[in-house]
Amino acid sequence: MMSKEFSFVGKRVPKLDAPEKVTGQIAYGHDMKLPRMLYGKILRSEYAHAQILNIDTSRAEALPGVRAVITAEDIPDMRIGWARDHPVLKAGKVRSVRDEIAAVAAVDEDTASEALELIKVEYEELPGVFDPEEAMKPGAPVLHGEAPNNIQEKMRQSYYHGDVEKGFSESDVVIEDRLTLPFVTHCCMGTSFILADFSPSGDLTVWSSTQMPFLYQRDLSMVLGIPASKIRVIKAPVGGAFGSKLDMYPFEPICVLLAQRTGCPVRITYTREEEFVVGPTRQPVICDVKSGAKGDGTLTARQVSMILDNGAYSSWGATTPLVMMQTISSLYRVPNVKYDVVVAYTNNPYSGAMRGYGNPQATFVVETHIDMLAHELGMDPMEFRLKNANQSGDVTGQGVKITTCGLTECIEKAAESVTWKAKRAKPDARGVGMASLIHVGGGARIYPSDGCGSTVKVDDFGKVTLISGSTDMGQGADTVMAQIVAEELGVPVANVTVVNADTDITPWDVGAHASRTTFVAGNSARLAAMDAKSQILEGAAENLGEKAEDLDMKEGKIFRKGEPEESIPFEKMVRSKHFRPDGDIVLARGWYEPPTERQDKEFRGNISAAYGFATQAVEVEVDTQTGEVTVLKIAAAHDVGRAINPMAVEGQIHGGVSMGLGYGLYEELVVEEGQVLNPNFADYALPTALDMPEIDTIIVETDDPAGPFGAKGMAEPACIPTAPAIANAVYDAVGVRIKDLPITPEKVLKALNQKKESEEEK
Amino acid sequence: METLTMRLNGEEVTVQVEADALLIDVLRERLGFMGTKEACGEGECGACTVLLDGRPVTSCLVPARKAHGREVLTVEGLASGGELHPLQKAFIEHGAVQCGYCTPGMLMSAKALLDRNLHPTDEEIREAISGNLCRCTGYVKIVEAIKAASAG
Amino acid sequence: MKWEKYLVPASLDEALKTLAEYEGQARVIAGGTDLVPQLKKKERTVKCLVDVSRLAELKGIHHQDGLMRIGAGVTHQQIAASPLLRQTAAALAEGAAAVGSPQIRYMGTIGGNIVNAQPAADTAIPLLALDAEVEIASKEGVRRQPLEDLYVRPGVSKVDASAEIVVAFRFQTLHGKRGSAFARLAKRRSLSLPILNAAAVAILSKDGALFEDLRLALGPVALTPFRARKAEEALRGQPVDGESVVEALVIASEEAQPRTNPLRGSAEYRREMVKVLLGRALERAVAAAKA
Ligand SMILES: Cc1cc2nc3c(=O)[nH]c(=O)nc-3n(C[C@H](O)[C@H](O)[C@H](O)COP(=O)(O)OP(=O)(O)OC[C@H]3O[C@@H](n4cnc5c(N)ncnc54)[C@H](O)[C@@H]3O)c2cc1C
Ligand code: FES
Ligand code: FES
Repeated sequence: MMSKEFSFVGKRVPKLDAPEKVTGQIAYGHDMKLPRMLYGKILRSEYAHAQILNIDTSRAEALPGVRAVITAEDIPDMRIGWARDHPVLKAGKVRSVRDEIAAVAAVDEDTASEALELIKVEYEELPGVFDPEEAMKPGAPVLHGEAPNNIQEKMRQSYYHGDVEKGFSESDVVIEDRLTLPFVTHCCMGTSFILADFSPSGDLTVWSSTQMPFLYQRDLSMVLGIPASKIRVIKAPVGGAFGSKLDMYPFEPICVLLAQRTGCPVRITYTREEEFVVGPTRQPVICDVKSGAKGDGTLTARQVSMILDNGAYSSWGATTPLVMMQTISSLYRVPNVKYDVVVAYTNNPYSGAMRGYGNPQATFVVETHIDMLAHELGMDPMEFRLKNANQSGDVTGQGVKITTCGLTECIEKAAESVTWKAKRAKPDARGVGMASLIHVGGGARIYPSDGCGSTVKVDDFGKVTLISGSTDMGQGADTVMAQIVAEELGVPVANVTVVNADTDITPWDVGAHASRTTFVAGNSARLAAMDAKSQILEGAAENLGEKAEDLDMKEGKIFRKGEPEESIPFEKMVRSKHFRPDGDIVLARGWYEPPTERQDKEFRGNISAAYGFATQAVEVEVDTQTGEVTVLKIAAAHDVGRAINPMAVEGQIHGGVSMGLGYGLYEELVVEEGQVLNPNFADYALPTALDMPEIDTIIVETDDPAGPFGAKGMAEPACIPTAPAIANAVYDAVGVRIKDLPITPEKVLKALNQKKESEEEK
Repeated sequence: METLTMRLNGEEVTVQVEADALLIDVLRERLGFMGTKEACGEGECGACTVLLDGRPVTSCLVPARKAHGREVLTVEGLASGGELHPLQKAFIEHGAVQCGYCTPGMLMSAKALLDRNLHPTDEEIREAISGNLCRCTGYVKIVEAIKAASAG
Repeated sequence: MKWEKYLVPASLDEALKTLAEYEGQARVIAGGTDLVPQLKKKERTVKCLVDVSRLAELKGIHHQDGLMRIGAGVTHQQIAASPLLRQTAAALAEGAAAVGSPQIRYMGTIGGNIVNAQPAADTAIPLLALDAEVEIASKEGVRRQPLEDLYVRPGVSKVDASAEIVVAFRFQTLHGKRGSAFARLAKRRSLSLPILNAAAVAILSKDGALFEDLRLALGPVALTPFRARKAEEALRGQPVDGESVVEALVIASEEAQPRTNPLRGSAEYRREMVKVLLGRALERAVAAAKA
């Protein structure tokens, strides 16, 4: 590929906010205080399913320092969430241990905690249901009156293309399996928070950890009955998000209600335990999968049927099948696909959006089966993947239009990095495995608008301010935006400041999800920068008696095209444009709406303007006596379109890989009878620095024509293929197939013993 | 109330604290040193790491009175004379910071390491930060940055 | 209010007096890595904490006439880094190095690890294999007691930390044809409690061919740190390699009574792992003894 000459795109520009972070100066929500601020805390259910008989808050109210105690009785019946099934404070019935029963605002956290202990709740325990398969059976305890069998109609979906029966009948090999995936959770190092404050005139400001300030503003308005025009949402610096802050949850309207009641600002920050138990999780999946292929390695058919545990209420978790569907329909070329999914309520904690949004589960299923098919066919799993790889120009059965596709290159480069051919199928306890992915990389139209607005303002001193709808959750979006503006406008990055995530100031954006920020907000920023540039050049042309199209601007200097030696500082031209009769300032705008469509009723359509691909290959070693799996190396080859900031891209890949490794080997929120048994970092094991292997990041650039400077979204994908790649490597190493994450030593050893037994029988 | 006198980031500080105050609360709530973060409160994540007489400790588990008469160093005390500490510079330049919530604790663990070992191996670096969880970076660039800030 | 008073006595005597004054309402604190979380979660209540972590009487790792004496206030970090211990009581140095994280090792002490009485405490298992003795100071004076007799059940030891102070641990150092080792299985490589841990001390015949004596310890396979005495018995006087070792490991896995823990593994798995880990520890202990 021709490499274009860029000044800032493709450069390892340090994160703009890094100095504030390494000095401890940045104020996260947890560090924010306002005069008279109170601390809010929430009382939650002791039972997974129970009738509330009585709530006595009198002793809590009498405690000195307590300013307000609220229960469902004190507020209108408010329901939130995707299926509007989630009361903010629960009356009558609790459906999971995370349920909010009462809330307190007090002068300090200790007093608030003490007040919670003084609230007496009488319950009558109800039988619960904790397994989604059980939940769908007749006679199972019902959670929501409006959902008999614990399913809402819109929580059942079916998709197909081609004819799977025909596909299977034409196959030389067909395999069928059941795979299961656990509850896992985000583990943001900074917990969720909100600080709510009313002005004397009744205007509400919230500082929030939200990833989607504008939808949040709308949601708050809807549930609280406060006009959205009187709500200002500011996203304060957060300690990670990974999808966990994509929805509005009960604690947020509760905090606003406490502020309303007390007339004081109120802050709620989750404890670590709340973050584990109350925050949303990635959906556990029970999956039956059947795949077929011809003897020559051509995929023929894929049929997947899934049951998802929704938990007691609906957040975005219930909509993740839409993303799973894309992988099932479109990862590798498969002519016949059928996918059925049902999401059932249980009395477990509920599931939401988490990095990958269903794709880690779907990819585990598809890539495990791809690997198994290859072995069944006696083919090298890499060759099998190459044979069926998607290619640029493909339109998949679901209508996914693949414009640029680096999958083949990703497979080859990842394999090369782990010396695949040399290491594969060796008799020792070491092995290699790989897995790939497809994910939206150019926005995801799940809402009427998938756009983002930007304003670029250039002041008289040459300071460029980008006011962007985008939201930086720590991933470095601001820096990438600044690079895009600097490149397009022709000014140094150091001149560019980014202002964002404040609904009073920034233009609209749908939010930081679906790996869309660089692509959508980047395109939007680029449009605004182009507008600013032409305003500056037009001003300069007038001033200099030139034609605007003959001028150009680079690194802050304006010159005649082809004659960069003779130049004028751009800020001088900005001033001369401003300070003259009929002068004007430089104030530019950009609105980008990706050229995509919403899916039709049969779930077909091209919802993204570009698609990202990647392959990760891993080498593992298995201790056959203990079952422990050690990952020795991970090669992660990612088609990112273009790496606007390679350092940030690598950072996303490294972080994603560690999350994927955790999903593969360590992480599981253990839930028994609706109770979370390990709501802490000791028992919920994230990888530590000692658990991370060498990671070889391989950036594949396909220069997407729709992306800003060719870039595609890439942030979620990094965590998606790691777990199946590890599982496949374990198979290559010791010949056992783990179909149930995480791959614990105990599971591996059990499988090894079973394998030994069955070999002995033979 | 009990009197607590310590050298905090090189300056002597005396405060009256509740007998059961923890060091992290004194730093954050009494003295306004908000750079030290609490992410678990149980010693299991390292976000609250500070140096007590040069040793890395999780300040969420340290009764404040333990710091009496001793030296405490927090992230705010790393830079000196308007110059960032080499570790801070390296964290910035190598992209070791994403959300930044783990960063203050990481920096303190890294400083404790470099103070006693000028030439750590990668494995020694990983070991030294193995009590500090990070969800964003996979630790790769953090290890790179610490290596770059070491004497090689 | 977690506690009302925090006192830092200057000597062991003063510490004991202070404890006495509070008549059971005060408690010893060392590194606080076990106690502070317990107090925060209100699993325990005390009026006063008496900090012993800086008492000179509880410091130091000393070796004299084949006897090792480690102060109860010595931290895991100090034990793990001690060349003396690495050489003469490797199992203990390895156990201490496996505790928690660097921060926890800098704060946590061996005394706290023992008095907190968890059946798989990472220094308790090697100390048990080393046949350690505990020195406990009280108003009545100093008493000595075998470590093994100290335990009651998980979380409860016979040391009354509201009146008594563990001063030191003592054991015979391993020189000549003696060696020790520690093995551990955990979810990840740092910050995790053991699924199973094991320590072995091997005392070999002069030619290095036979077990003259040996001691095997395991956790968590009982309510207290566990000595695999039947396995020891089976191996005493036997060759250091061959069938007898395999048989002894089977015996150990039978006398161990691990329980199923939804977070750390099933009883069957742990039982299976007794053989593997103990086998590994023993093999390394033998290798050390021969070296
Ligand atoms: C995140 C984390 C990870 C951990 N990981 C491990 C691990 O992997 N392995 C492991 O074994 N442990 C682990 N622990 C537990 C703990 O760190 C150790 O048990 C440590 O050795 C306790 O020592 P301490 O000095 O902190 O004890 P403290 O908390 O100060 O005291 C513990 C108990 O002992 C009593 N006590 C302390 N010293 C004396 C004394 N001299 N005389 C009488 N009574 C005394 C106290 O009253 C208290 O009851 C971990 C703890 C944390 C927080
Ligand atoms: S906050 Fe102290 S270790 Fe997590
Ligand atoms: S940078 Fe986010 S937790 Fe480390």
